Amino acid sequence: MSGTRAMAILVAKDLRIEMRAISLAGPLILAIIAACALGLALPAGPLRHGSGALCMAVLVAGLLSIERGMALERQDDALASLLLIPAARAVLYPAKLAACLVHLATISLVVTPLCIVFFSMDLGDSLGRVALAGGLGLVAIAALGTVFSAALAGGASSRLLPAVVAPLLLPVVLLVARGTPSPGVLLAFDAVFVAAGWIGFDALMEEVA
Amino acid sequence: MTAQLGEFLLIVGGAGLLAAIAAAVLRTLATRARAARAGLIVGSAALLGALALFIAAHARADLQLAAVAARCDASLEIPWRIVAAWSGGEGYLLLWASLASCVASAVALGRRRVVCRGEPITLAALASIPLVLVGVMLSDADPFRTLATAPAEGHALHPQLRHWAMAVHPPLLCLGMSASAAPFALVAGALWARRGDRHWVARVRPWVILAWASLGAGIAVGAFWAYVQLGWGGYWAWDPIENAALVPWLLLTALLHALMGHERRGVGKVWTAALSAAALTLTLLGAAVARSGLVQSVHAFAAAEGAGVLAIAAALVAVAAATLIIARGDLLAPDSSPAPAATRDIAITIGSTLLVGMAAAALLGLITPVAVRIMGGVGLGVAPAFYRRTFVPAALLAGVLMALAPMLPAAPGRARWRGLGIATSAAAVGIALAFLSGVRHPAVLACAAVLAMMASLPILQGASEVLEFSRASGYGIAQAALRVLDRTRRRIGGQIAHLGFACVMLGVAGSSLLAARATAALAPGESLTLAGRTLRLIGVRESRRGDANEVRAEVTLDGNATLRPAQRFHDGYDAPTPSVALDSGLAADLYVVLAGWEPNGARATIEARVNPLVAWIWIGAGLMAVGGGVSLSPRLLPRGTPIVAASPRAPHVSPMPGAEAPIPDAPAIHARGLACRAGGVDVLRDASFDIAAGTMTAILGCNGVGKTTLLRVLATLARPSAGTLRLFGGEPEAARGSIGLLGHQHMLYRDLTALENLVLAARLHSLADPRSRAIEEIARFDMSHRADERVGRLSRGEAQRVALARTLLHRPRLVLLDEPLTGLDTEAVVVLCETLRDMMRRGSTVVLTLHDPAAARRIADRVLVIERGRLADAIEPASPRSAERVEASP
Repeated sequence: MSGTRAMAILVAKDLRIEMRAISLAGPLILAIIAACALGLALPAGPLRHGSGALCMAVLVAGLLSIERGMALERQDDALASLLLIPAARAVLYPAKLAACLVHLATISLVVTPLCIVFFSMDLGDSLGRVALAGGLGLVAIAALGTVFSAALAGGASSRLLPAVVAPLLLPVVLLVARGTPSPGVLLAFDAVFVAAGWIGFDALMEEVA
Repeated sequence: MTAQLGEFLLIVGGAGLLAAIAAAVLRTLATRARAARAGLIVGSAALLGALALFIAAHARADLQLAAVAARCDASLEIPWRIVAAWSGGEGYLLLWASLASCVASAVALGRRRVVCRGEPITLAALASIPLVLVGVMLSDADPFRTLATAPAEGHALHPQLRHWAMAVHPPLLCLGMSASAAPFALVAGALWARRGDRHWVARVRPWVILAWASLGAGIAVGAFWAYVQLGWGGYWAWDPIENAALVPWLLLTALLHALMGHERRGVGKVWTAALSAAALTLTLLGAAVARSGLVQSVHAFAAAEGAGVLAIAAALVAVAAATLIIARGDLLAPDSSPAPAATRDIAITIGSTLLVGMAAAALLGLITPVAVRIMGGVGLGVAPAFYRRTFVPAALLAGVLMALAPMLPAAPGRARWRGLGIATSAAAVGIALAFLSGVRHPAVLACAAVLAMMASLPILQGASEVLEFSRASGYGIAQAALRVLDRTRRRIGGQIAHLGFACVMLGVAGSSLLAARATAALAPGESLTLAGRTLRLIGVRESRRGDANEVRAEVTLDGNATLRPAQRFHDGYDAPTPSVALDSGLAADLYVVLAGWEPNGARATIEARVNPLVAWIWIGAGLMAVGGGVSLSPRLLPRGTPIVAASPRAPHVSPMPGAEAPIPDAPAIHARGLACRAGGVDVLRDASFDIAAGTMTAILGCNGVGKTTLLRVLATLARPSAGTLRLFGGEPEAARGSIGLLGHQHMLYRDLTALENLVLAARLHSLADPRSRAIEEIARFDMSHRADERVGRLSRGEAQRVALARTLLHRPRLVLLDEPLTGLDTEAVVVLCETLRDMMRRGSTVVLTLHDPAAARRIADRVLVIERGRLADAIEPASPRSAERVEASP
């Protein structure tokens, strides 16, 4: 089986389960509340206020969502059955990453309009760059979050995911929060995070299993 | 000689039954069960012999016997002589005792291979019912009592009993009453053995269905007899004796539904136990009332004996049941984490409650006249209006719930909108058809709607399943229908029974609410018109037919057909017996009775009734009996029947790895010095072993000794900290796709359905036509009916079946099973063993962990014993090839 097909199957599985369990609802509501709270607390004006609020809302909700994504694999030891399929083992990381990106994108699509309204963000000519920066930021969150959610296998340690991942993501968050970061820098962060995740995920899975 | 032999057989039967009860106190379990079975077999054989002797005495018209002389004469035709055998109190008792002992023997023989601690109690409880009946016969109602002098002629069977219905009505009722003892006895045995789990539900259900179907069929045949023989135009008079059979039937119906909740969700156990006890108690109480002589009924036995003993037996059962339920209250508590209640569960609970309410209303009608008589009153009972006010709304509501239940979500949050849409459309069509047929009464229109809903959904659902199975399996429609029926016969039986109930409701509503009646004294040539139908009297004739003088009127119906209502004066009987003229149809019956006549034939009084829809009652009763039969029927197809057709239409099924290759000489697993550390602890130490391909190896050991760790190392899920592992002569990682692992947990996604989980696994294993493959595998483990249920809502055993199906889906060369028998019933264990045997023949290697040394030695070629992480022992069972040795392990 081709890796792409196996990946498509796994992503479809993840999305189906998330849709059915409505597990995205919790993070989504949290993101909306965070965006509303920050929007009411901070004054409208500079673009970075809105970008920062958006980053925080997506980061908090995203990490919750990522933790849930691996939890469903660990529940009832379902992950073990995936690990016995050779093709799946190779594509498990990109598949989880892709599913995670879909979740983060969904959260972003809901929260971004709120932030635009609350912070009167005038994107104007910078819309494309902001969108690109946001997208790359999401990849960074997803790449790092997926690896660490796998590393912090189950139980109480999985609750530590935000505490471990958030400091590592701080440079990315600060860059995105500035509103118009350099895409090249974000791309470099993404490349490092994704490559490390891909390389280490198989070993992590063996330990998790 | 007949009398002496009969009494001897009764004594032997009683002794056998007594021995079965006494066996319960013997020392060892196996001895107790064996002795109880032997006692029951001797008892039932002797009682069947006594019954055969009694029937033969009637067939020969042996008037030396008092029971024969009271109801039989040589002038009777032989079929009616046989009917006479159980038309009296003594014969009825003998029939009941014989069937009850046969039921007890069947229960005992149905569980020969496995003896649980409660078995002797179950058998003792079952033996006690026929023993009580034998006691009554030997003391008060001896069927073999002889007369000092045999009369020249006997008193021939009452003419109204000379009808085919009386040949089957008493045996059916007796079978139902006998079978109704089995559920309580099995529940009592399970509680005695402190088993509060769901496993005994499967054993109780067939007996509940048998009792329910037999009693229901008996009641329906009795009602039909009353309709065509008694001449009063109705079929149910709500008299206490009719209620005596109806009450346990209603309770058994409620019990059947309560068992579903018990089995599916682990709730309602007290309800199940109480209903099984109540069904038996009220069966005995009803029999006591029928024999008490305290109520007036055409069904009651005049001056029959034994009522007191039966009433005491009923009281003892009630006391024993109450004591057992209270003493074992902890076992009857709901499961700690029952599956959440779905809307369908709630509907079923409400329906069961309604049934119990109806039973309570009928019970009131049963005991009120008896209580009034005991307290010195006369002739006070419950009026039919009371039943109309209680039964009609309750039955209508139960019917609507019954129609809706299959369409309601079987799991929370899963509404079947399509089904509801179909049902609503069907209801509208049903109402429209009834309306166009001239029905205007709301209750009858509601019944028509319920019937249409009940009929539509099973047909559409069944058709959809057959088409889907045909598409997936490659079988033609007829073959697919046979296989779907075979696998879902319990559900289909239930749906047929529900459909039957709806037909009965329609018939009862129509005949009760829309009936019309007219009576007229007609001279020849005069006519009577009722509901658009004209009856014209042609004349009245008197003649001699058989042992009766007959007065017969000839009446034309609408100028075409001729009806001949009559009254017969049988020799030896003063009161005439009506002979009803019936013109039956699905829309209505025209029921004509000759109510009076002038001696010269100048005028006859004709009583005519139009009873709409009454035929639906008999159709419905037949459907209910068929439904019970379908539910009880054994598998039509043997278990080994291929699920996928071998025809060109069949989809390609991925061949098993190594299926065509001979079993290699190299070991499937080669382990040397394997060790595994976890959390600083050596979980596995220096494990060295070889496992040959195509064999089954069991790993035995206490909890925590490293069995699961060893399996996970073999599955490449955990890396050994030391040692060498080779699978099929190569690196373990290379064999990953050929490994099937069943873990401690089911390794399935809870939020996916069983089928979706299997399809996912099939796709990831690149199997051809994954959906068909998944359907095939899920069917192998008999989970087709739960295929669309989310795994999170399956019971432990059901999830284990699905997990096994997922493990074996891709026909792995190495099968690793961690405690595979956990949560499985006997049937699933058999399927698992058959599948493993088949796979081993094709070269697959099976390694499984077990706790039970006996089971390990029985099914495995080799047993490895682990102690504290080390392989302590390797035992080689005697058999050469495990493929020949794997057998069901209950």
